[in-house]
Amino acid sequence: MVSSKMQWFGTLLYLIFFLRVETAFGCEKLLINGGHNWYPYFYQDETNHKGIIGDIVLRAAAHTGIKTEIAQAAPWKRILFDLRSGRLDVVAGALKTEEREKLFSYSSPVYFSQFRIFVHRDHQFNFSTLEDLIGKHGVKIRGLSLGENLDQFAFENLVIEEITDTNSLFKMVAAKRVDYGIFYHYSGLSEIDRLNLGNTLIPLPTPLTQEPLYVAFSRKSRCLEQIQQLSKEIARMKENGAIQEIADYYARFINNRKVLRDDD
Amino acid sequence: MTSRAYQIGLYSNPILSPGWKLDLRWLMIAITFSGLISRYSLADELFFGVTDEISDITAVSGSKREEDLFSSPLSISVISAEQIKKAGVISIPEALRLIPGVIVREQTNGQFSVHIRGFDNVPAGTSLTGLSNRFSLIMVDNRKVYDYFNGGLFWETLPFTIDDIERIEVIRGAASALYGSNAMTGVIHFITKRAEGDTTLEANLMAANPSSTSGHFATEHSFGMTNFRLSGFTDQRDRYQTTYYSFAEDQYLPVDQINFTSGIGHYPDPEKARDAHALMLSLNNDPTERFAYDLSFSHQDSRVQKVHISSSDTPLTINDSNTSAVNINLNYDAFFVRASHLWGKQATLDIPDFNYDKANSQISMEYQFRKPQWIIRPGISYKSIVYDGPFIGGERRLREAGYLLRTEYFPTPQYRLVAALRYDDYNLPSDNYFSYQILGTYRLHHDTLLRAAIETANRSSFMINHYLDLMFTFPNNPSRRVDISGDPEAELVSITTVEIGLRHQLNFNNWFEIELFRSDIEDFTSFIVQGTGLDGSQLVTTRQLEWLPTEATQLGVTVDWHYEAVNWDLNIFLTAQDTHVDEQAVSISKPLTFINTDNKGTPDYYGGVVHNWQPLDRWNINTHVYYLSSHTFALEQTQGNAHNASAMYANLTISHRFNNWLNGFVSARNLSNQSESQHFFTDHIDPLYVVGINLKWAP
Repeated sequence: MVSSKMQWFGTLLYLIFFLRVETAFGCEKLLINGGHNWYPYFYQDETNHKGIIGDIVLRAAAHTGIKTEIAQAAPWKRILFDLRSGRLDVVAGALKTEEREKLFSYSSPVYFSQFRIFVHRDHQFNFSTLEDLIGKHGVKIRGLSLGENLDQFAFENLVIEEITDTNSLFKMVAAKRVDYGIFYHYSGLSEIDRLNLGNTLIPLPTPLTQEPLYVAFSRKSRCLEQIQQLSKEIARMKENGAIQEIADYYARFINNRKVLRDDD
Repeated sequence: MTSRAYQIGLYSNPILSPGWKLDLRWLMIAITFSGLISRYSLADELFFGVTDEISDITAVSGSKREEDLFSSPLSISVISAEQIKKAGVISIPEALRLIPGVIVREQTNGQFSVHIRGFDNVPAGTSLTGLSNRFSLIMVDNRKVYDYFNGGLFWETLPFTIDDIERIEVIRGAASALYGSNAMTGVIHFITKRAEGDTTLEANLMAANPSSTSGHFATEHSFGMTNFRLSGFTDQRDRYQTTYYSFAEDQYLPVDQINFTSGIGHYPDPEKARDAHALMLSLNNDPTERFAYDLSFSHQDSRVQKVHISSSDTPLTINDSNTSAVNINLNYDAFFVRASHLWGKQATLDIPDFNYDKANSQISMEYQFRKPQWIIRPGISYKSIVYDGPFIGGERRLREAGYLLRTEYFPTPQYRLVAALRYDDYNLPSDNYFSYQILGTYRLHHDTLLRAAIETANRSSFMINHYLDLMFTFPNNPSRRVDISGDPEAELVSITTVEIGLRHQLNFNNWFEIELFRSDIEDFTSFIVQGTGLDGSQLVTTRQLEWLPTEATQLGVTVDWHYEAVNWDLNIFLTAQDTHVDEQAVSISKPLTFINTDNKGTPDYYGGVVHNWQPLDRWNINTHVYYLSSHTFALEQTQGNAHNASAMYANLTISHRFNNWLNGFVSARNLSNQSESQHFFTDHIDPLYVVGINLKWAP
């Protein structure tokens, strides 16, 4: 008797763990998330603006009459994990890799991210090629990949410390403890403002690297039809200049802040 | 099971006879689990190369610089302040029960003995002091707090509490090449909280039954660029009982019924297990400044009952300690300087010979060169330890000068090779010791790290071993005397450890680590009874420190598995080990005879389960089970053997965050295996019921 129950219990466990139990819930709304405070690409605050890519997704959804909800801020790994499992429908802003392409579908490129070299204003140097960084001491966030080729070059030729948080990154550059720090361009400017280091640090004009950014969609979403519509609308927005319009708005905003800072 | 399985024809094949039924069941379970693993062993390439590293936990002790735990070339574990608080831990050594590879036994309320990987009671047959751990180095903010009286640590002298700890890092394996002598089976590194510039005021209060009360405060503030933190505590613990075990009577008795032949019979307050107070002031500036510093002053005053000085009557003695310390860490670019000085008095009550002053001065300097694919770190260190007491005939000094060179080379992004070499020059014995760590890691995949290590270490000299010069006349029987002397040239115990390890991330919230290790220890010494004879009117027993041919070999494996869900997490860890001793002395009286045997003082299996569950916002329920399999301590004839049966110590803690400034918790500790001694006839450890609150004001 006991063994019979055990077998049923085992079978149930098997079903839970091995078989995908497809639930037949309908799609009520798209659940959207993005990198936590990834200014200006995606961020969450009280305003209606959610960053360049956040706004692109929300406007595209509004145009097509799809209901949306912004999910709670979460670590990046959990966001990607949820997107893979279908608990999240859309990630507003992600890089494309071979592995990710197997698991997610993607929009066409909607914007780009730039890595910049941030230096102390009194400690600027010419940077036009990667060789200009040889012999200098840099710092970046632990695990931050700059792309395969640049990572390999950095490994073979550069000395780059790795640290856990952006506060330390910019403070180390400000204290001249290192010669430069590597970070996203606009996010970096935003962090510098937050740390009141606008008079001390600047990004060098030449980007270190530039990567296209995409909207990523879950392949296991309950809203595949809506996702298809959204993807088409995003492509249409790119063609009719609506995406550029959103990007220009943020560029004006960033430039205004920059002018204000320079005036200070 | 058999009947149903037979009906459906599973055993219709004669090869699948009923004798195979059990095997088949295990096979099915194995297949199920392998399926589970394969389903959840998704190679998470998508997480790689983004902005998040595989492990978000960092450690500094493994390479003397911050690195993510997953990449560390050593066997290392980290436990955070948050994890400690969730577990309702109220004593610092107890927190180490949350870490794999650490054996923790409670002696009296709040007093513990701690071993890393074991070698408990090796060699066997010695005195009670042979049960203390003299193989592991303990550090606080890079300051070595190891005690040179007879090795080990006086845990009660730590000038901080659980509430001052930022995190604890534990290295398993020999690490003398990194940190000098005594890091033989590992290193326990306490990293205390560091003021960060905000003004805060904190109070932590705890009360428990049996009567225990503890109060802790801390305040942080900044003056200009300088951040400071002031903290202090008072901690009073009653024993679980008032009786003491009598070796002569083989039972626990009230103190007035024990015949104290050795004279160690002064127990003015048998109820009191621990009475400790301390204060610590720390100053620092931002660690990212070009010139960064940490400066601290601490003072502690404590009286505890614990297993310390060997007594032929009862295991516990009362020990007083009053010490102060300053510690300075300076950092300019890649240049690191650390200096510290500790001074004070310690005493074992009622034994005037063991009342002494002590001072411990340390300085070390290291520089880290960074080149692409290379990190080179040379350094020098110097240590001077001075004790002044009757047991060593006045003031005596131990000196160590160390020279370190640590090199890391990264031939490809997947490989890492580390060679750390250290040369130590001692005044006693007048000899030099060389230790090394050769380590290699290979990142097989972004979520899998293989590592291998060969490491050596040695113990330092102690006052007892090298300077002891004592003629002890029994107060209750002046016709009896024991003459004990150390050996200034006694060799230092040394260890060689070989390890291989695997870390694998099954998923972003699910990872495990396996480490296989083999350690060989040799060059033990022990106080050997030379004989007994008449000296005038006194019958004198002479004991002299002698080198022993004893060698111990330990083979073991530690498995550590972490799983984290949205509102719960689980950590299971277990160590299995076997220690064999060659040339174990049958007794410590001359003439010595030796046998080969297994060491039974270290449990064959030990580990724990830690589970946190947040059923509701602001609530956390922590279940912690700590397990030690049966083991037996064997001491010299007058004290005999103690068998500790397999035991599982269960704790349950419920904590609640009322608001941003008030947390509260209740905890029930030692819920299982109640009223048993965890050490050598020390107190029966009863359940302890704790209630506590944490107040934090931060404008």
